[in-house]
Amino acid sequence: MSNDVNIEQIHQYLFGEMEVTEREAFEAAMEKDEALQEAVRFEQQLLGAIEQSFEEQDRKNIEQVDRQLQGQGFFEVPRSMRRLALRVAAAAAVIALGIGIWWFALKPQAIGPALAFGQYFHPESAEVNGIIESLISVGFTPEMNRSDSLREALLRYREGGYQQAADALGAFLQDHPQNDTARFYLALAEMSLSQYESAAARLADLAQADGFEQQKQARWYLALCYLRLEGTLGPARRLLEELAEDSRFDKQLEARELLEKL
Amino acid sequence: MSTEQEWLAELRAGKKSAYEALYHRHFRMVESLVVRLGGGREQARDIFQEALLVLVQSIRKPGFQLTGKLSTLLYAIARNLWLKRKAADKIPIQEAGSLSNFPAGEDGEKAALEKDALLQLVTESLAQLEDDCRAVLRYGIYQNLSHAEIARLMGYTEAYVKVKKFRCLEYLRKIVRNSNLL
Repeated sequence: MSNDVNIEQIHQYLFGEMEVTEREAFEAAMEKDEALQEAVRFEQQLLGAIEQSFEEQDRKNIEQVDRQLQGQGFFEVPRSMRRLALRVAAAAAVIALGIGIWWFALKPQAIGPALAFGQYFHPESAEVNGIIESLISVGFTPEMNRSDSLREALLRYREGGYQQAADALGAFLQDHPQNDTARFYLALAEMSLSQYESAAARLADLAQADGFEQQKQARWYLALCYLRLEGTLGPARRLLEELAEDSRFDKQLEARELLEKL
Repeated sequence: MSTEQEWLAELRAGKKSAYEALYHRHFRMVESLVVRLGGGREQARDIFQEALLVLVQSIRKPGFQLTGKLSTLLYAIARNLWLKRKAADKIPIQEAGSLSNFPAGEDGEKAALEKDALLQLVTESLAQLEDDCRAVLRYGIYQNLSHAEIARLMGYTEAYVKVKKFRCLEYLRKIVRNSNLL
């Protein structure tokens, strides 16, 4: 076997660079020549080891470059992305702060029933004017009659003279105990005078009085009244929940707000 | 020669500077790809390393020509690697008793040990070679380039490359023969 010629041929064979006829001839020669077989096997393993060695070297080089870049902080989040992340974080903080401000400043604060009563109890003043007007427009005679007595009592109420109004309404109810309007404003006058038990009793009747035009107002004031009585917070809540769902009740929003505060 | 062709030449030569350049130029692209496909940043680093190695293997193939951009090739390699890895994660682990779990026979173990020993010997021997010798073997054996291409890359004549390659290989042959590993 000529060493120079055969090594070159062996490499051509191993690298697949021979023509078909050339390869067939080479393989036929190998079958007859054990030394050639051994030389091919040797070169195959040597070249394989060289290839593998370079491949391992490439792998190590890549890993070294990776580690080197890691040491330089290359794999940390890029500055531009960090800035973006900071901006996002800042925006999130502002939003969180905004929510916090809303939570503490705008959200209804939880308060006690007595304080809630103080904030939400305002003696009815809108409809009382209409009632007084209606009593005048009827054109009753100058003598003090039933309507005049009620009108005078309601005038005291409108002026804020709650004790006088209560006395007058009480006197009126002695003669006309079924007058719901008188009972209602007497209850409001009593609430203004801190006579909650008496007021609650009147309002509880009115709250169930079908046909009474101010029935929903009676329930509202009854709920407020319950806020000042012992052990009646539950009934107060139930009344407020009912009123908070009633879109035709003019104090629906106040009822919802008060419920959130309780 | 374009920048990409320069990088290609450096990759063939196994220069670290080529890997560094590719990291700086294309790592973020691969990282975005992997993250977009449900991976993490650490996984993106693994994939990029593997992709670089596959790239080097790809350019070794006979007749390889860079027709498009290197970034396109690297992107395609990285994408395939990541999708393969994700698919592999979904394949259940083989139950005990399957054929793959049988221990290799004594002959197999012996052959593996001999192969490892040969690799270590060749690696140590290559490290002792002069740079030109190692470069000729890298281009000629590992990169499978022709004598003419090696001559062009190294600035030598073809005849010189042919002789150089023969002598360098002969040096390794002697070392291996003397080791009695083969």
